[in-house]
Amino acid sequence: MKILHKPSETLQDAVIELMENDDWERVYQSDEFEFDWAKERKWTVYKLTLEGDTIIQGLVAIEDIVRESRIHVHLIENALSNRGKDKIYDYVAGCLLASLCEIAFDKRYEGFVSLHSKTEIISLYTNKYRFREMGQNLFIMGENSLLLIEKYLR
Amino acid sequence: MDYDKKFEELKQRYTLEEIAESFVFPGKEQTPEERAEFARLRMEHWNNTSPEKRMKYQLIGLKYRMKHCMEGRKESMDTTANFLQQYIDITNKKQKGLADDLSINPSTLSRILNGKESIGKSLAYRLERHSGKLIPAIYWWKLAQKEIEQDIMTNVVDREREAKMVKNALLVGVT
Repeated sequence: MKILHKPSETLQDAVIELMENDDWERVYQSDEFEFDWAKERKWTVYKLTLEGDTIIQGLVAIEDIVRESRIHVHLIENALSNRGKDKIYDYVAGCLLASLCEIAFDKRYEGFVSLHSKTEIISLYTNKYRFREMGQNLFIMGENSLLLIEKYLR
Repeated sequence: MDYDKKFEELKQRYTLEEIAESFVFPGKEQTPEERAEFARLRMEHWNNTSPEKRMKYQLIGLKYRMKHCMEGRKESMDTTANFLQQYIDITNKKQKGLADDLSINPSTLSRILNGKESIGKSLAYRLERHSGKLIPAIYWWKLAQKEIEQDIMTNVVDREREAKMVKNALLVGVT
């Protein structure tokens, strides 16, 4: 997968991996993340880094809900430097979400990924990532998951 | 964490679009009834998937398990033989049927499934075509090569057996 280095407008190789003990220490000591990630350790947490690099560009905490054949996103946070109009890397959250779609296929869930969002920004997830509303939740599955994978991970 | 408070803080610094581009965090806590309703709707979607779509999505799932295995993700580690068995299960084929489809001897397929033979280039191409190109030949090839590499590094028995077949081995470098 590739994320966009905004200053040079070049795509750079990135990887998503499970968080390890050293990574947690880095996150706790970093000013780049403002959510309380210690509370997310009960979930499965992946990090996105540039290939061969240790700097974490974004994090995602997920729950594998086997009985409902879905991956549920609890939290995604881009590193501080990858937010807003002056962000250094773009596509971080998109790559994280697309990777979750891959995992949801891997686990035989037909690409089903769900999340729960603030009402004010629901339409932004539906427009940008093709999520659909289902009750209070948003979800993506099947062909839309494949399109998200194609967009961010090709 | 008080997500409402955090959301208000973020809105002071970022537009709503910028927040959606950089974060996912929950809205107001759901009631057990709302959760149950979502589970019901989810299973409704699951039950409405056609058999053709289900096979396609299961094959795509297999492709990503193979990809994640190649990437060394612990949670997806498996053998080529097991991946091939999954392919047979997903496509509802019998071993003989798949061997016929691929124009290979059933005993060859059986040996591959038992881990006694590796998938070669020809079979990788045929499996790619058989899957409607959903699973690239390179995935089968790379996984098979990874196993051969592992075998070469660890298989003492085969190394000694093959060594006995060699005549006039150069003494240079032998310790």
